Amino acid sequence: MRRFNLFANARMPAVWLALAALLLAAACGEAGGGSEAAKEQTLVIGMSAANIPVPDTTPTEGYEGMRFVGYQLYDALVNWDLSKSDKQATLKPGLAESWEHSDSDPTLWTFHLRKNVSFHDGTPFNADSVIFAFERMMNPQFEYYNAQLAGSSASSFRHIESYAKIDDSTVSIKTKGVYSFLPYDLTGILIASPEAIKKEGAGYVNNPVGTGPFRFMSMKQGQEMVLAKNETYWGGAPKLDQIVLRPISDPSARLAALQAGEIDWAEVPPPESIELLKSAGYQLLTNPYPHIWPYVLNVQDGPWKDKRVRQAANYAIDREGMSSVLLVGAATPSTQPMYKGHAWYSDKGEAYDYNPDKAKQLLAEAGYPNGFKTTFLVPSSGSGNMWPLVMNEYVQKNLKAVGIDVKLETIEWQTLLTQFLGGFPKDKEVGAYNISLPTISPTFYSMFFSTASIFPNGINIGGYSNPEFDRLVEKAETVFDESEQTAIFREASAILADDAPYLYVVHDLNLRALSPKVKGFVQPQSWFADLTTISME
Amino acid sequence: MGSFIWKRLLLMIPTLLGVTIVVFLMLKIVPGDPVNALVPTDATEAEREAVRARLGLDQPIFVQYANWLARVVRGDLGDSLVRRLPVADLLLPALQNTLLLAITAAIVSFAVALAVGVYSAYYPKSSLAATFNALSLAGIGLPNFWVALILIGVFSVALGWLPSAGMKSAGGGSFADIIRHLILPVAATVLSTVGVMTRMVRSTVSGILQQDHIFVLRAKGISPTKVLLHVLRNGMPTILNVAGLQFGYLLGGSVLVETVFSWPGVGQVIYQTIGQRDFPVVQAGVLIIAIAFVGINLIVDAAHAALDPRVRRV
Repeated sequence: MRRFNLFANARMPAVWLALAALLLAAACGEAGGGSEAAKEQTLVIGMSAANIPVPDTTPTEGYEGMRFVGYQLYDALVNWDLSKSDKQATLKPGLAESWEHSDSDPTLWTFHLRKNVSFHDGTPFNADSVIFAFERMMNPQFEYYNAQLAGSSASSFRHIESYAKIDDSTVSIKTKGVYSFLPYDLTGILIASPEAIKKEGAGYVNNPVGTGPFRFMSMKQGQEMVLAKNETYWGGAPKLDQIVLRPISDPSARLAALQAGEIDWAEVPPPESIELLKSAGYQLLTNPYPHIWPYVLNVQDGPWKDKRVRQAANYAIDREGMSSVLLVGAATPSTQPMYKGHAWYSDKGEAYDYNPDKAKQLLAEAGYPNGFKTTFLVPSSGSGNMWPLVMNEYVQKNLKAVGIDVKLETIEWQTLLTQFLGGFPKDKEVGAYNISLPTISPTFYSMFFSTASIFPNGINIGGYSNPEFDRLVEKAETVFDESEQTAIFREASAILADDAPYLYVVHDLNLRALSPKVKGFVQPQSWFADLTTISME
Repeated sequence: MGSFIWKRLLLMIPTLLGVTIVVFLMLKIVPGDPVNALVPTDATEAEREAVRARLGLDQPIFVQYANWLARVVRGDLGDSLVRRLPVADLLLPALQNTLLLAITAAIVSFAVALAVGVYSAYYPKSSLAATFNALSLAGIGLPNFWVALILIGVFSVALGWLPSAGMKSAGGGSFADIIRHLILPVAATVLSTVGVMTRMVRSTVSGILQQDHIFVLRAKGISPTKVLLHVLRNGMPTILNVAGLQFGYLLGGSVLVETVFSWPGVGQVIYQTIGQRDFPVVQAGVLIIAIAFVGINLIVDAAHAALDPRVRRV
C-alpha cells in the first residue's frame, strides 16, 4: 500500500513559514521601542503587593501602599524625615509647620499650618481641609464620612478626643488624657482635597488628590499606577517626571523583571539572588527599620511561663548564622524589640549571644533538664514575614539542639493572622506564634506588651505582664521632652530584653534592588521612602 | 435542536447554584477574616467588630448567602470589601485579559495538536512521532507554573528576548507590545492542553484510519488531502468535545500562570482576593468562570449535536 504523504503538499510549509515570520516580526518589532519615554525621567517600581493600592488617604496593601502611594500623593500634618540613612527616621513638620501643647492643659494641642500650599487640583490647603479630613474618618454624622477609612486608620485617631478650627491656618486637637505621642499618630492621617472628595463622591479613589510630591495620573487594576511630578510641591519639586508602580507579587518574577530591565526597582528580591545581582552591577540596598521577626510566646501557660525558659530559648538561637549565612545579609540579629543603633535600643538589657550551654543550664534550672515538647504556629508567607519556611526550620534546629522539641504547624497567612488576633487556642498546647510586627510608633510598647493590652483588650497576645514596665510606658505618654522620653523607652526596652516575652530572632533589613540607572535614593531606616531625590541616568 | 438547547440552558441553573453554594461555604469554612486586610495590625477587637458589622459579616451565613444571591440575580455582583470598587469593575477588565490569554492559548493548542496529532497518526512508527509522544507526555506532566519560571529564566533573563511580567510595557500597549507579552504566558499555558489534545487527536485519527470507509476511499484513488478531510469530519465531534473541555480548563486553570507572569486576569484577581478573603470578588470570579465553563460546554454540545445527529436524540 502506498503511504500518503500529507506534508508533500507544497503549500502547507509556506503557510507555516509565513505564520512564524509574522509572529517573529511582531515579537521583535517593538523590542527596541520606547525611546521617547526614555527622555522623560521615569522610575518603574516593582512592588511585592498583588495589586496596586487603592489610593485613598489610607491606601490598601498595608505599609507598601502607604510607602508608594500614601506618602507620595499626600502629606500629613506631621511627616516622616526620610532623608538620612544612618539614623532612624524621625518626625518632621508636614502640612503643619509647628505645633505645641498648652502648658496649663497638656491635652490641648495647637497646630500651625503651612501657608500657600495647594492641592493638586488647585484647591488651597487650610484649616478647613484638615477638619474635613478628620470629620471624614471620625464623625459618623458627617456627610462625607467614610466608614472604611475610619476602620483602616482607627489606630491613628484612637487618642483624639476632639478637634477644632481656630483660624484659617490654625487647628487645635484635644487628646483623651495626656498623650505625648500624638504627633506620631498624626503621621497616619493624610489630608485629601475636600473639593475632590465632594465632587467625585465614591469615585474619589479613581481620581485622588492630595498635596504630596507626586500627583495621580492613571491606574489600571492589577497592572499599574502612574504618578507624575508635582511641580509646585511645597517641599521642593521631585527630580523624577513620572513613577510607574507595578504589582508583581511573585519574588522570582520580580527578580526576572528587574534583570530584564522592565522595572528599575524591585522590592524584596529573593535573598539567594543578592550575590548574582551585585556582580551584575545592581544596587543592593539594606538598612534596619522598625520591624521585628519574633515568636510571640505564650507566657500564661506551660513552660514559657518561666522567664528562665524564655531566656534559654533566646540563648539557643544562632542569629548571626541566620542573618549572614542563611539570609545572605538580608537580616540583622534581634535581641529586643528595637535594633542596635535605634535610639530606643538599650545596651543594658540581656544581650543574647549564641550560647547553647547557657541555654541548657537555664533550662535545667527551670526544671527542664531534658527539655520539653511544644508547638509553634507559623505562617507560610505573608507581608513582612520574610522567608518563614527556611527561617522557622533554622530556629527549630537551634532549639532542638538544647532540648526544646518544636513542632512547626505551618498555616496560610490570613488564617494565621486571624488565629493570632483571637489569642492562644484553649483546646491545645501552643507555645508561640511566629509573626512579624511593626514597631514604628512608640505606641507599640503598650499595644504589644502592657498589662492593659492583654488579649482580648488589646493585642498583647502572649499575656505578658510586668508592673514596672506598665508604669514606664504609662509615664512615657505624659512626658513631652524628647530625650527624657527616649530614656524611658530605653529602660522599657531593657526590661523587654530581660523578661523575653518574645523569642527575638532577627530584624528585616528592607532588602531592595535598584538598577544602576537609579541615582540619588537614600535608603532610610523606615518603612517608607522619599522618592523626590531620585533621578534616572 | 431548539428544545435541546433549552433543556441544556435550564440544566445550567442548578449547576451554577450548586457552584455558588459550594464556593460560599468553602470561603466561610476556611478561617481568615477580610477585616484583617482593612484595619492596621494594632487595631483593637472593638474596632474590628465595627468594621465587620458595617460589612454585614456579622450576620448568619445563610442570610449573607441569600442577600448575595438576591443581588446577583438582579445583575449586581456587589462591591469588593477591600478595594471599594464594584466587583464588575474589577472582574470585567480582568475577564477580557483572561479571555485574550485563553483564546490565544486555545487556538495555538488546537492548531498544534491537530497538526502533530494527525502527523503522529499517519506515521506512528516514525521517530518524529515518538518524539512528539514523549513531549506530549512531558507537557501533561510538567506543572505549568514551573515551566513558566523556566521560560522566564531562559527567554527573559538569559536571552532577553521577551518580557517577563505584565501585559504591556510601561508606556507601551500597542498590538505588537501585547503580543510580545502574550508569548511566554501562552507557551506555559498550552503545554498540558497540547499534550492532552495531541494524544487524543492521534488516537481518534488512527482509529478512523483503520475503518472500512477510509479503505474504500483510498481504494477509489481519492487524493490524500480529500481523504484527510473525511477523516477530520469523522473525528471532529470527539475532538471538539475535548477541545471545549480543555478551553474551560484554560479559562479557570491559569491562576498560577497569571500569577507568575503578573498577567492581570481573573485568575490573578482570584488569587489575590482569596489571600485577602475578599469574599464578593472571589465569589463573582468563580461564578464567571463557572458560567463560561458551562456556557462553552453548551456551545460544544450544540455543535456536537449539529455535527452528529445521534446526539440530538439524548
